[in-house]
Amino acid sequence: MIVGIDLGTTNCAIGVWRDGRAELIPNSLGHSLTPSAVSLDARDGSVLVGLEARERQSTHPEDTVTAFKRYMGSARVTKLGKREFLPEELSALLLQRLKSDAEAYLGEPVTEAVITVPAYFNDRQRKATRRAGELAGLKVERLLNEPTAAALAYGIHELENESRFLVFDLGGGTFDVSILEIFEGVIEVRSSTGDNRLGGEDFNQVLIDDFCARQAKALDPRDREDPTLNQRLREAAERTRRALTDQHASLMSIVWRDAVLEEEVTTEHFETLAAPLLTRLREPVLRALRDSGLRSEDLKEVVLVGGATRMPVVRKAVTRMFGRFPSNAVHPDEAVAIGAAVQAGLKARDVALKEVVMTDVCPYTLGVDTMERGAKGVVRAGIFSPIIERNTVIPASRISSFVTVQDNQSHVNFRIYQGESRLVSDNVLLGQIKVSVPPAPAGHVGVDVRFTYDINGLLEVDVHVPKTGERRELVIVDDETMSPAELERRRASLAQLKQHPRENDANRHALARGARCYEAFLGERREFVARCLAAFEAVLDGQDPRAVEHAREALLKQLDHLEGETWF
Amino acid sequence: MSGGSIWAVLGIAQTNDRTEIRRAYSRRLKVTHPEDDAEGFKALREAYEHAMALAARGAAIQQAQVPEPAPAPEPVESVREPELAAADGQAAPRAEPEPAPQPAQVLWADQGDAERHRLTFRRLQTLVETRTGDPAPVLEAFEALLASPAMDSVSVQEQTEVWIMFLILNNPPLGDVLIEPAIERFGWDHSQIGPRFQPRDAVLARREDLRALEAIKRTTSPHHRAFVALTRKPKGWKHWLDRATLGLPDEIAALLQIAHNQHRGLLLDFDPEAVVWWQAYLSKPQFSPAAIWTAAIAPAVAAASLVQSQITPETPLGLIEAYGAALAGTLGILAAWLYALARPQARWRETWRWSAPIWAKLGWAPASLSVLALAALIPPSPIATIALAVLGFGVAAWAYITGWVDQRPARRLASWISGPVAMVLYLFGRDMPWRMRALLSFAPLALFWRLIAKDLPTGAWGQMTLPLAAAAATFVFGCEPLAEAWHRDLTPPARRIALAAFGLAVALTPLVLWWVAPGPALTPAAATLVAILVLLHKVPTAHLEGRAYAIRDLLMRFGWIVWTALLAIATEYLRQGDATLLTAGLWLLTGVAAGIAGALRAERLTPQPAR
Repeated sequence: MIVGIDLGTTNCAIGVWRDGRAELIPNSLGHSLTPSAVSLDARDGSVLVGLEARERQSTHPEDTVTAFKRYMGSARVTKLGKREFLPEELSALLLQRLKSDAEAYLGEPVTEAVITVPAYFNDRQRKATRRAGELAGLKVERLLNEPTAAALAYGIHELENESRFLVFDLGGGTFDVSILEIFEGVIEVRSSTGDNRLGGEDFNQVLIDDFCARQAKALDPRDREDPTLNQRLREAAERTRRALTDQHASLMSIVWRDAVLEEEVTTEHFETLAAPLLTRLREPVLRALRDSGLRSEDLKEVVLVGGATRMPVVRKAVTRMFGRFPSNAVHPDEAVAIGAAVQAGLKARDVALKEVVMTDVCPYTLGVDTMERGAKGVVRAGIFSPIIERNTVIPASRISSFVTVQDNQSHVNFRIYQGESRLVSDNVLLGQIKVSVPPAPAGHVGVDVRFTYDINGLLEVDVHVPKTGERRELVIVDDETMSPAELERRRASLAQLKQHPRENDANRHALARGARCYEAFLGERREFVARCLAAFEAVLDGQDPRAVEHAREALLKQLDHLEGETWF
Repeated sequence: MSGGSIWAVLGIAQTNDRTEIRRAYSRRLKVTHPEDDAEGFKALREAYEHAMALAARGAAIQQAQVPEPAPAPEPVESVREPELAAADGQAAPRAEPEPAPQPAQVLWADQGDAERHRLTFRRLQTLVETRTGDPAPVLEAFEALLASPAMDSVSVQEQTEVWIMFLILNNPPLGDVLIEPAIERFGWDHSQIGPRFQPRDAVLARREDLRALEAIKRTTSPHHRAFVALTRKPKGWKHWLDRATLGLPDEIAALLQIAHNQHRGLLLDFDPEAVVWWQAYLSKPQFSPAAIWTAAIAPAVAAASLVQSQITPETPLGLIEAYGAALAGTLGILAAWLYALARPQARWRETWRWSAPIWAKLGWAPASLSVLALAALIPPSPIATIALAVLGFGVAAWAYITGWVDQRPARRLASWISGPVAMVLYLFGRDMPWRMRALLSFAPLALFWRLIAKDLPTGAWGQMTLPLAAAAATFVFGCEPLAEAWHRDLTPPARRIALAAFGLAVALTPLVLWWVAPGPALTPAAATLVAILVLLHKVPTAHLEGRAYAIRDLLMRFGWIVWTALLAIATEYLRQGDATLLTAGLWLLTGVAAGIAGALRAERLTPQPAR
């Protein structure tokens, strides 16, 4: 069976297409979302993944890592305890966990998967995601863009109708806008754009900044560097933000240096703080509308996806933007995973999806750097010449022709860039390719460059000199390519990491959460947590499964009572 | 992809119905799945996009008869009609097939907001159209418009952007104050690549024009004077002063060129009558400011010096008569230059150059040479002198009108090796101007003529000098067209034969000179022969390069040193005085021969086929 995996920055999820519908697979704790966190238990060198790892972030910050998705494609090494991990290895651990959850749920081995990536992920990052899948023992059948996945989750219910809708995906760290059109079973992405530096975290940050400004007396400027303090501030901000979804005002409080610091935040105050962020939401929307050639009135629905869209401020802003209420048809957190599951079903050619075809677009412009000769013979270098424009339907292949710029030029060096700016210095360099040309006066030798962008978003460059018939091809690879042998070695070493059996997950999570609460609270509450933990550990030693489960439920309820429910 | 095959790929007949094309595309898409058949999908997608574009164009052509409410100019007008604004008007009438009965999905939270927004825009519009000079109220109204709560809606924002674009474009000088704020607030700048939108591009172009205008308005700008002149009506004494300002017509021409080619918006800032007048002025040769000042000053100076020097003491001239004569002379010269030379040349280049017969284009060459020959053969007399001079200069005018000069600076290496003046100028980093080069190219001939002056009978030298000068001038003005005709219209064999014949003539001429040497009667004819050969040889050697050119030049310019040395030796064997013609002639002819030899060699090396 092919599964669909949403490998998110904050949370990940796994789903499958079964019996004509997409369903999410619960993890060992019974939740459909697994936090994207990895932690190393220094005592026995075992690796923890998911909610228990996230709980350990405040108690063992040096051994825990979250939000490593933004480092995918880079060679940045994270040190957990004594071991070093590449971002793709961390993702691979997550994927392994999801894989075992799926196998336990479905009762059969799982070897193929569709994994979602942000639409703006470049070639390097996409290849890293693929490698993560391979390290986890999964064959990555397809890389799917996250906004398209969310749209698919919505659109799969609208197949009989002809409609155009906009997907507004505000996640933890990124914002994506996609406009799609459905007709006769064809789901077509018209345009896809976004701001990859805008997300729920930014809304947290405005709360944190406001809190620190108001509490400037109690907080030493040097403390701001302390990771524990930052972690607590982030959690408190997150909690407050969520509380404001249902309540009119909320208390944001942290414990620091044996003192409780708290501030009240009202909805109006939050709106004022978040106003500049809300203005930033409009620009990608306008750009997406312009690129697709549609107007706001042409849209039938506006679909909200992503946890941050639960905020009333965001919902209000969206309503005012489009003059209508957004649709509630999809669950904001689960949409991407559901969409991935639908795509898995499409890949598997499930009978129910036989009449459905989906086409996606390239969300950014790809081109090369060139020189242009202006008036008076002035030559300007570093000009970006697009070859595949953004929002071109993929797979796509485009050819552009260029000529030499100097007499007797021996080589032409093409640097391949991704981005929208006219100057290559503002765009992202993907790779380069060099081809030799015959000596001739400037402008007499033509070189054809063909870009092929395949359905997974991988770029192939083909350079051809018609005069000599020479051809060079480049499939963009990183400087540090992993050979299959290297891949195998890494996979083996990951497999050797100790991981506890699934049955103990829930207990370990409860203990980790208790430890975190113990550290986060003071005085009476701390003692209360200590007592609850002690009671639970006593029952654990007894090893009676039913009693253990009972005690765990009681502990979790007590912790919920103290700090509010666990969120994702 | 050819037109026929896109319909084959889609599997339908050619149609303008976009729904049908789309249906065909979705049908084919299920067969050519992008996951399986990437190439097939690419072809299908290309066909689909092409078909949709064709259908859109076909539909547009069909609808061209029925005037559609074009979205472009409408928004400005639609604001005046309260019921037409697109922001909220299209919610109700848009008939989307709703499958399930749902409450109105599209709602507008506050009708009042939309109405207030429209009113704010109308206020802005009025302010822009009646603006007197103070930009502050307009900017205030603009800010109020942007702060209007209705702007939260993206459709209202898009509509407002279009309104502002057209407000700016329809009110050129008054709306300019909105350009920078609008570009900044709406982000219309083109630093990002994206789909083009013509009104936005027009606003950005207007901004570039305004920036150029700012630069021009500064008094330090090189175009400032021209700008001031073009904003002034072409009447009154200031206008006459402009006509007489040195260098101003050229600057005005340059500014008009910039306005036409790069910044068309600038034309709106000039006075339209001034533009028309100056364009008419610049289209033909005119009395330049330099000429006007010459006409004003020169006669006075000439008259004063005439009276002072009292050339003719027996009939003393009064100041006024002298001035009158000088003025008449100056004006006559200027008028002759303008109406007899400059304007006909402009006219020729405009119209007749391409259609004229060959004798009109090149007939001046034989004419000038025959005038020269006549001057040699006719016995000297004052009437003949004057008549031949007039004829000669008439032919020179003919050559001036129909010819053109190679005005490229003399950058050839050989030229500065061989020409002392050119070398000096080159050392100072300047190229020899073409006029100087033309002058110096006839320096050897002038020297020759001066040398043989004493060998010619009295009066003959005077009679022949002016026609010779005219012939030289003729060959300066008209050498290029002749050389071009030589290279273009004659086949290489013909050219080689001509060169060979010429070479033969050059070889035989010394014998003629030797034979002529005794009697002064035939000296004018012999001298004319040498002069004609020197003049004619300029044609095939006009484009000599490199070593050949250097050799010819060296011999022409410095050969006289050698020959003067030989003159001393020659006088021992010949009668006194006659050796001058022989040696001087031989000197010139050696140069000519070297030129001919060089031309022949060039012919053999790179034969240029006649086109």
